Amino acid sequence: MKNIILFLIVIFSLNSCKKGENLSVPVSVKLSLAHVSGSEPLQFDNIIYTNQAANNYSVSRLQYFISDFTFLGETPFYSDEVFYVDAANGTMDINFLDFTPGEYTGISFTIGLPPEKNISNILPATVETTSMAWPDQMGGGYHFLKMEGQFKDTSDHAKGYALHLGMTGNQVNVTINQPMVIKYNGHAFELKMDVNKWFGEPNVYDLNANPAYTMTNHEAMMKISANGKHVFSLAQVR
Amino acid sequence: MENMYLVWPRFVKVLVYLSLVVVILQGCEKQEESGSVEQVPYVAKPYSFRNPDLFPEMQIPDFNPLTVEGVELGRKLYYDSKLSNNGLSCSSCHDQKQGFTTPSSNSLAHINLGWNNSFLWNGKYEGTLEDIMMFEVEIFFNTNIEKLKADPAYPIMFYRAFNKPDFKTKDIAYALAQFFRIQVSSDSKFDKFLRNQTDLTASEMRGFNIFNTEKGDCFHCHSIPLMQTPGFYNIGLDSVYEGVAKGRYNVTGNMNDLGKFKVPTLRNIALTAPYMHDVRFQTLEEVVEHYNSGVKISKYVDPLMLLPAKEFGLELSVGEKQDLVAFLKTLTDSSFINNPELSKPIN
Repeated sequence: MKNIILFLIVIFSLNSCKKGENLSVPVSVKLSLAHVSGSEPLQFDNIIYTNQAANNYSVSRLQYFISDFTFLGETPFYSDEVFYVDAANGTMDINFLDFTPGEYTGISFTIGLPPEKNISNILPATVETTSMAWPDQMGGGYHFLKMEGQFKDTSDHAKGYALHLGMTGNQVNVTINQPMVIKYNGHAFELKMDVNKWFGEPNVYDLNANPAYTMTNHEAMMKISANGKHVFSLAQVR
Repeated sequence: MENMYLVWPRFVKVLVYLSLVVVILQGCEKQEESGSVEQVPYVAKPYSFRNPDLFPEMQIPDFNPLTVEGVELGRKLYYDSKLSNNGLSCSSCHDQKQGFTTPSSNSLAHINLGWNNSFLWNGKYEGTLEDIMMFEVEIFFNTNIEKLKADPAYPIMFYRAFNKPDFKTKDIAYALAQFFRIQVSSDSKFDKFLRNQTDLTASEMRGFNIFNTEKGDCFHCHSIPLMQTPGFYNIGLDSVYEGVAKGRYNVTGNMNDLGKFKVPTLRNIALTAPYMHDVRFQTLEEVVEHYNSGVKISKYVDPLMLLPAKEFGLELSVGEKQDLVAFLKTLTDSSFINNPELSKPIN
């Protein structure tokens, strides 16, 4: 009789542990970084886009650092990793391991680098990080963002633009509030950058009226940085 | 329990001993019958590679680690005209004293290629050094492997490098790739300056400030310390694109790649004239003048060449152009061009 009872206890215990509902076991979450213009996947080099300042423009290069991810909630999940993104390589997947299952209220991150990491040569030297160096003569540290392309000026001539963000203070701290319930391995989210929005809100950035080359212009970088808070949207895909 | 062995008849024990001896001898004979002593596996010695300060970590593939024997074999092959069918070796167009290129060719210099993943001016070959070496051996040189095998030095060198006395073209490529990885230039005057081991002259410093600020804007494509960046750029050499001038387009077929070429390193640039993919510029002064006033505008030119206020080029003064050239000359690395480990082997 004792053996039967023990057997039943074991059976019930096993049944109660249904796959994916052990909330104490860390899980992995995938975050995909995608780049669009409006609702269309980003295409490079052709002047086919119109920004919120009514400039016809193209994107030839879009490279940036993204870092300091926090999934917000009662028990936030934080990662201090720095990720280099080159939009020419397509969607980039980031896998966060050891994620505590639970309810989350949103996500915050930095486009660029936090102050303690924006120091020349402090990041592990790779071909990518060295190519993002911000010259010491211009303040040092790293480029947070390089977005380059061509636009049509008021005479309909093609000109170049280079929206480069750098210098501590111009990193973009982004918070997106969105309830998320993360229970098991395999949850996936998409963080989508709409490039048009670098020119739109709160500062309408007309390339014909504002510096097209921002590295030397602190006011221009502040405007772009402020707009950067609105370029990303978050969606759960799984 | 009685020990069964002890009760065996004597003749059985003798048979067992003899059988063991025969088995052991058989094994030795098989080893001798299979070939020479070289069939005993050789353990190549790891090559002590020191990644230069401030440089990215060189990615060395697990499938072709650096060894003393592999590098030495690669060096011998680099200088051996048996690699080709026309009397040329790698060194014929890549002379160490001239930064591993030659004036008579438009060959990209063999400098720090261990940090590159695209090769040739239009980036036709992408991947590892092993990938580009396969092209060089199988296609460019069309190496007749029997010529190498007829040289008694090679079977034993390939045995020691890869345990392959009966080597194949892939093994030739792998050895060359190992030698290419040690062709490292990282000790120029500018490197010493970065390490606070020396000062630049006033002119060189002014040139560095032009190079590394928006004034010259060179750093965006020629980033420190590799003095190059990945990717392909159209710097306005032409506005009409035909033949080779089409650049990366000849690889991708993408119109937006017209006129784009790989960014070469500027290390040892004072030694590697003439310049550009078609060797159109004979001096560094001509190169600087191109950026200063010679950019040809087309819809395919890189945005960095079309920035407002630079429509007419950099507009540097005569003195500023001289300063920029003076800075570029600080990238010459005499220890690199004189390094005996990179020179033609004695035997």
